[in-house]
Amino acid sequence: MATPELLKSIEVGMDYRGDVTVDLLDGKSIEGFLFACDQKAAEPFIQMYLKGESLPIKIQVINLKEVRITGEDTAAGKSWEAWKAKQEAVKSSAQ
Amino acid sequence: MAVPISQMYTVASYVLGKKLSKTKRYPLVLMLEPLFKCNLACAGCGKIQYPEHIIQRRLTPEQCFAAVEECGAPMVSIPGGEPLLHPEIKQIVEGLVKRKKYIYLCTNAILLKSKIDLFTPSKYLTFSVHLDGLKDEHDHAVCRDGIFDVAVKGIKEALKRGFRVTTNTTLFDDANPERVREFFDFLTGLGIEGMMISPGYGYQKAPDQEHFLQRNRTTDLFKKILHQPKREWKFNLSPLFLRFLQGEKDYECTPWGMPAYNIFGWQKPCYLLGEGYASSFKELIETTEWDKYGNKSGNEKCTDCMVHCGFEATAVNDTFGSIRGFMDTVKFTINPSLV
Repeated sequence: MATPELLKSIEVGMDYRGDVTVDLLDGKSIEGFLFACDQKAAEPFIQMYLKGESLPIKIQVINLKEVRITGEDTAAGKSWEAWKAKQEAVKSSAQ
Repeated sequence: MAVPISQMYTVASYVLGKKLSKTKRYPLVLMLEPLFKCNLACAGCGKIQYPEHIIQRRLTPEQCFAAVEECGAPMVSIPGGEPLLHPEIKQIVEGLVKRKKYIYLCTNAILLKSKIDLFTPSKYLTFSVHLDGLKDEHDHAVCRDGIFDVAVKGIKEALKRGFRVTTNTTLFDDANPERVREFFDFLTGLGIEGMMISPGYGYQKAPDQEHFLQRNRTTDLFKKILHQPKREWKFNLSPLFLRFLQGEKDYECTPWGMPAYNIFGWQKPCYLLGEGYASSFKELIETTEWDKYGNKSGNEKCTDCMVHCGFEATAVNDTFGSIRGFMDTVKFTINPSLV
């Protein structure tokens, strides 16, 4: 059974718009883009694309220790809210 | 130029077939995203916010055809990223034309003039050019000067060669209604087949009152934009969707109406929200928790949403789902100034 901390780290990793590092219980670590997690499957799993690999990989949640945010955040400063704030700033400076 | 009768017939007979077979959830348009790579970086666009190794990935033509065949929607929209950057876009389009799918190839048109020789005019192929307004507004929206002029040149070239051309426009609540109306006049003057307009999507973590105000701002904007619409304006939209945008129709979204497929799979629950992926269209329909989404679901991410990809299918469903819906569609189609 996945711990609440692990589930939370998976959730954070899924929302993140950059690469993450997945630490496995066997001591290995894998870096890539985490894009899916199926907790309702008979054997819950996550899916990732790794750099240089053409097909995605699946890792069972029971083999996971932690998901860490390690790659660059490609969405930093580019959210809808940031865009709106930028629009407002441009409008204010033009007035 | 107007939508071909064959397309209207194909869509109408498809929807009626679904109604007669009592199919509750059926797709109208497949949003086929063959890649996320783009030659623009429009502020606020989430489609390009991925690591480089993801941006460089793309669907193969075979993956595109398999998705189209499984989904079965009569229309396929190809957004992205920028589809004209896909090295096999010619093969993808040819394969979809062969399968008699009505294609809307969405493009910022930067590469349209240079790549137009890859394509052959066909009733199945429409270039849907992204334009968010007149020159100042569009160049500001895409964060690069000169793109409006390039897009207009691309439109003119495509029209000259006999291609079907529409535009797609996203409007936020700070849009100037008079400028938008001038923009409609300009596009009409170019001779395009139709204009698609949609409010932008903005998810806000806000109390309910703020959501109410946001929806009101959106409907107020579209009431001003569409007040006494000119007869010559041609919209590539259901007239009932235009009524919805003005607050005259109360609709719930139909996220399965325009399902999205990309390198990750079938996106749950819709084109805008990426909350998981299914490996097949069947799995998407059967395993997505649809009750958790929609304006009335209580889901904050859906509360303010009025976008085209969620609600056009609802409007089409209304046309064929009730006498009132059908008669309204006929009324507004015959007399667009009533919209």
